[in-house]
Amino acid sequence: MSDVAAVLLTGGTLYAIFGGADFGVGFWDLVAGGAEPGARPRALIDRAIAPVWEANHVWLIFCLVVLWTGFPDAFAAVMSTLYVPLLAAALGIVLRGSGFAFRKVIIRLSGQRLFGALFAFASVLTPFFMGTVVGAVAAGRVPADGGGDRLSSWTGLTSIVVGLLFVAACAYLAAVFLVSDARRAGDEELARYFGRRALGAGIVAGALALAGLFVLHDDARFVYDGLTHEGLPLVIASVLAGGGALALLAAGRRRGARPLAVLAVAAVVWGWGVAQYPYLLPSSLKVSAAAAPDDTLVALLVVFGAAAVVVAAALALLFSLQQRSMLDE
Amino acid sequence: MGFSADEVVIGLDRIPKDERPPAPTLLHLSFDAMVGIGTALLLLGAWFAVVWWRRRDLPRSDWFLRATAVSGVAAIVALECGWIVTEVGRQPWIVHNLMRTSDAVTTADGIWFTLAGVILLYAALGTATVLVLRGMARRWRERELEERDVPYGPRDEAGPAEATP
Repeated sequence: MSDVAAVLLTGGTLYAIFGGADFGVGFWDLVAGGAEPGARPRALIDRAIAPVWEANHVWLIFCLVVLWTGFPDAFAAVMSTLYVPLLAAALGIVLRGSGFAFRKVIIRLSGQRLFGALFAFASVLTPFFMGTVVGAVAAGRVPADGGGDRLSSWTGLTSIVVGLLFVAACAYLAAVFLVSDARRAGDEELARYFGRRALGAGIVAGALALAGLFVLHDDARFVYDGLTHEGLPLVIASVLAGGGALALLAAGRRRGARPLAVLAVAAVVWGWGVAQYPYLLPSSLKVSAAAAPDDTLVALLVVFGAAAVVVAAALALLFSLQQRSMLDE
Repeated sequence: MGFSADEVVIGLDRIPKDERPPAPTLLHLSFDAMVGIGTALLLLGAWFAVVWWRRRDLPRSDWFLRATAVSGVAAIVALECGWIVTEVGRQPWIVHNLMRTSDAVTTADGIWFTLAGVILLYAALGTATVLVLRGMARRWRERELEERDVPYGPRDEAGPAEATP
């Protein structure tokens, strides 16, 4: 069952990276300014995610399916306790998708403004609500048999800080990716524009992560202890990778920032997983207690193997075509 | 239910009263509609296939065009009828013979509020979709008219938003 938990965490990592970058571009769309000065960054954002924004969210569906198949009790507990922020996140995903799609086909500026704002606001609120869910789980606010308080379970300090951290991390990842996209489009000025923003977002994300550690110390002691013991190598790896990416960006290097930024995010996700182990919901529900019967888990792993072959190949093709600018709509 | 010729299909009257699905007439008609429309669509496809095979052309009959025009809506009706058959017909079980819907329902409150919210949301999105599609169709028609005015003139490049299909 630990292997299924690892599969779940792998899906979570992929969603944090791909979905995270996807939400993050919405943040930069939101703060790009008025129609005139914001036109160029928005055009780049549009080109960057138009071919991939739907594919980026397959990992959320993947995580939900693995969670409810592999750990149905944990799924029920999380859903019945945290349905308010989860519904808000679902609403955000629907609104940002339709906002993005409608903006592209509307000619009038007022219509573009309306749907663009819908896309951008929803892109910022969705990762925030997802962060409050993760914070609630980490802080042990989800009782094993579900039915936790529908408001106070996700409005604690840990939830708020993790929610803000999610937004900052998404913005950071997206800005690092957009630097590369701008360079590929031959727009050095826009690359510097997003380079500065990546630096800013990286510093904010780092500060929030540090503040988060203090909050965890008081509010989520089990996860704090895990992060400072078993999970410490991963925390250090994340700090080094995130700092390294910022240093490369500040020095204006062309290579290396993207993989390091991805590594920084992945290390945090795995650090969280390791810190929580052996609990799925600290400290009321262990991974072993939440797991579905063995037959189900075996079936899940087989399906995961098959999906990994099919989906990974298809996504690799999609992203390599996109990176070579071979996808014109 | 079974996958063998010996399978005995139990009639509804042999199932305990508290385990029968509601609205049997609705279920019956939904099933008939689903299968009937599905068969009709199959025949429509066969009609086309035969004519194409013989003459490499569309069937000339107006009735073929009429049937094709309603086939899209009919397919959706069949699909919805299928959902009614599975979801209403499954009651009172959510997992047949294992878990009743009343035992599976969430303990969280505010279900009606959420349902109303989802209906309103999709009504708004559906309206926006129709308006946007109509707008696109109108622009497309207007451009086509302009081009017909000057059939050999230089092709006007579409505006930035119009370039996206």
